[in-house]
Amino acid sequence: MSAPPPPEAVRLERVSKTYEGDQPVTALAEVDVRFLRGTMTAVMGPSGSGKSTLLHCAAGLDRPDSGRVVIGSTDLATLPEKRLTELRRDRIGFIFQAFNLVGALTVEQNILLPLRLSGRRPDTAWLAQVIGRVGLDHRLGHRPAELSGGQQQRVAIARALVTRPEVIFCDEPTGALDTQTAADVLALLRSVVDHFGQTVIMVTHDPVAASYANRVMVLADGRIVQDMPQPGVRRIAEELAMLDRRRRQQQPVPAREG
Amino acid sequence: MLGLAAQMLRYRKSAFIATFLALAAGVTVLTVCGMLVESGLRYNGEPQRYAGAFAVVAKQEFAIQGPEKFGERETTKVTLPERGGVPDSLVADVAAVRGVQRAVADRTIPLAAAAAPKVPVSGHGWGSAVLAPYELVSGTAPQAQGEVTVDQRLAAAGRLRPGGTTAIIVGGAVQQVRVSGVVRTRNGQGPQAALFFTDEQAARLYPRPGRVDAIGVLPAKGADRAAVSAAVKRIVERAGAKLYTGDERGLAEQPEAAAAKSFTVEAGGAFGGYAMLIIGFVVAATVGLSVRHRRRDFALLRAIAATPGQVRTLILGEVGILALLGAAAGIPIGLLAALWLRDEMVDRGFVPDTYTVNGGVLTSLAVTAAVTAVALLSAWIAARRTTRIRPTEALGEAAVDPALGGKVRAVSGLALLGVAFALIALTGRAGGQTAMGVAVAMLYTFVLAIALLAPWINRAAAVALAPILRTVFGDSGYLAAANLRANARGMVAVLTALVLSVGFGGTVWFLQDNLQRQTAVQSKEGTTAQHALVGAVGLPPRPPRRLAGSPACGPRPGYAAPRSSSRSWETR
Repeated sequence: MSAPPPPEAVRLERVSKTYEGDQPVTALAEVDVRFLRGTMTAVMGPSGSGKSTLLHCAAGLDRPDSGRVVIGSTDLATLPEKRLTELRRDRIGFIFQAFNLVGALTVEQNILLPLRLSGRRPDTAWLAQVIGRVGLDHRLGHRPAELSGGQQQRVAIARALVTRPEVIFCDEPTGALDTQTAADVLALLRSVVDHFGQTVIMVTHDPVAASYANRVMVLADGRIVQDMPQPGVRRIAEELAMLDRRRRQQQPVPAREG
Repeated sequence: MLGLAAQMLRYRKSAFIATFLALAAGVTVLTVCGMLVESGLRYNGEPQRYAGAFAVVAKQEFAIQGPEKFGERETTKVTLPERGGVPDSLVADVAAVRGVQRAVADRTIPLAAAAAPKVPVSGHGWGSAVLAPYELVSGTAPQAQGEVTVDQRLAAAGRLRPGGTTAIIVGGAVQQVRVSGVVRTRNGQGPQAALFFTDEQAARLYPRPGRVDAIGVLPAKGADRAAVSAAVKRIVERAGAKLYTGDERGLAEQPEAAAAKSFTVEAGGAFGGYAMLIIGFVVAATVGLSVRHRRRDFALLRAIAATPGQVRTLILGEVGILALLGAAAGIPIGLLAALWLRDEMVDRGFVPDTYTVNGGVLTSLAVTAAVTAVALLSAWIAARRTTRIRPTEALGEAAVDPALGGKVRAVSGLALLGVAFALIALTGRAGGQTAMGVAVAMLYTFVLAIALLAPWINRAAAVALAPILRTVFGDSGYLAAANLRANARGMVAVLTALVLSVGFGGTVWFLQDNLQRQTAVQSKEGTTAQHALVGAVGLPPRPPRRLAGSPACGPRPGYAAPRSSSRSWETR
């Protein structure tokens, strides 16, 4: 890679995705969006708005029907499944709502799993820094079942960070947590952006969670209907409420989860 | 990946118990069958009276011609525990071969010694004593018609000494004979003690004129043994007999051993074949189930880091480790069971007392390899399915149970079902071995068809049984039916395993039952006499006069030879 890295970590160009079925559902309709390095973006929207599909396509978990997804300077469309997996392992971090960890493995083994699968040696200094940042020094030998929900999400964050990825994708990372624990986890994610210069893209429907982001995007029916820099909790909540009202006035659309 | 696989196994012990048990039980059953085959292959009886011969000619396999069907005649080869298949003209032919010093005929004469009724004895001509060889301990060889020489075992049991007289029963009559000498051999104790007549006397008493039991071959000094055995082999095989060399000489000496050998090899092989098929299905089902239950784990691995190949390696690693553990547990049990089975078979007279459980290394290796291969193959098939899991499934709240199954599955299942029904019709028309073959093929087709159609059968059963279950078991019955309906595909393994065990059990059981009934019918049809007179040491040449006029016999009793010697064997 001789060319200088582009300013954005992830770029979507006219990405469309339709789920086939008795009533085809358009999850994404020609979405164009760029996510800049070192920023945290919240993707919001009602159920069936296509926000999870956007995340899956941007992260290489799912393939769009048309359009281009570029991570760093790699176009995902041309990659076979194995290369795509390797790209996810080396250059993307994932934090899901729950079931993030392999139950058979200890905390440390879970954190090191992507490195182990790629056959790379961990950078011990970086590992120590990551573990210190998420505050799990004294829990490394525990199994996930012995940890609280918040602690499990911290392990997931550490695992996402350990490969120094291009971007970290989060799917409702605080959806299964109580308010206080959620705040701790969100603060941790924020600090990852501020201290390590990480790029974070987070799907959420919680206005409070979205308020930690630099930028909030709102999707409806597969299109971006709002793109706001640091709008604050109140503004986000109002936008969502307005969107909801508008939708209720229209014909009920067949909803699709995700 | 293997380290990861081992860690997964340790963590989820309970989830793998079913697979482990299936594998261990399979290994046990297969080890028993394998030991039957291996011991049978290694078992050659004990050469005792023929230990001094370089090679022995005998004929124990009898070809039985079946009725003609579809323009083909079925020929069945049976190993009979009877002696006396070799034409005596062959003795001179073998003796004429270059490098053969002597060819010695042996005739076995069933008899009983009155002095030692509990010792099993057989009579022979003195000429055959050289085959062991027996050497004189005291006295002389039999010189005249009324003289016999006995071995040490009989002498000790009956307190016989050279010069004394004793009674023997031979050919259905009591004879007084003079003991001329006592002989011994260094070859250990065989199943029967030996008593020697003169060669002329032996030929006279022998019940099958023109034939001999066996021909012992003694090569000339310095002769090329390989060339001799090749030349003799050519001659005797033309006459339908067989040449036994080395340890196999025991088979020529003890036809029971030859029969036991072929019985154990065939029984072990047949049972092993059935067992292998059942094990294949059960292992595939449990492995498939355990993989299906952990879809989420695999989906997570796929999402965060693992390539499809790595997930496959992980699953194969887990099952491979389990298979080896199963072998480690199953093989010792199987070996013990084989020893127990040997005792039971000896008790029931299926095999002679000299039958030993032999070997084990070969069987253990083969069984381990076979079971591991089956397990890995089914794991690979199951793994192929999981690599099709989209990583996004890991993100959802609950894994969605897949739909019932594709069109290909339904169509091939229905096609196989059709074939199976067609085979039923064919089974009815065919007879004998053909019908057996078709019946087994029909069974396999039915099992495969049911396995393929299992999701729909489960669904239908759930719908049909729901009202009954609800009436009988109340709420839990309702829940069971609902679960079966929703999870029809997941229960495929259960249904297939049930169909298999019932199907195979039924088929094997009823085929045996039918076979037995058929044998009884044939045997009855083949015997026209109302009563049969038998004797272990033969019958006198004319029926005793006392039988005449008895109510069972009528005025003129007579002997009639049974039409086929194989019938009596089958009805044993």
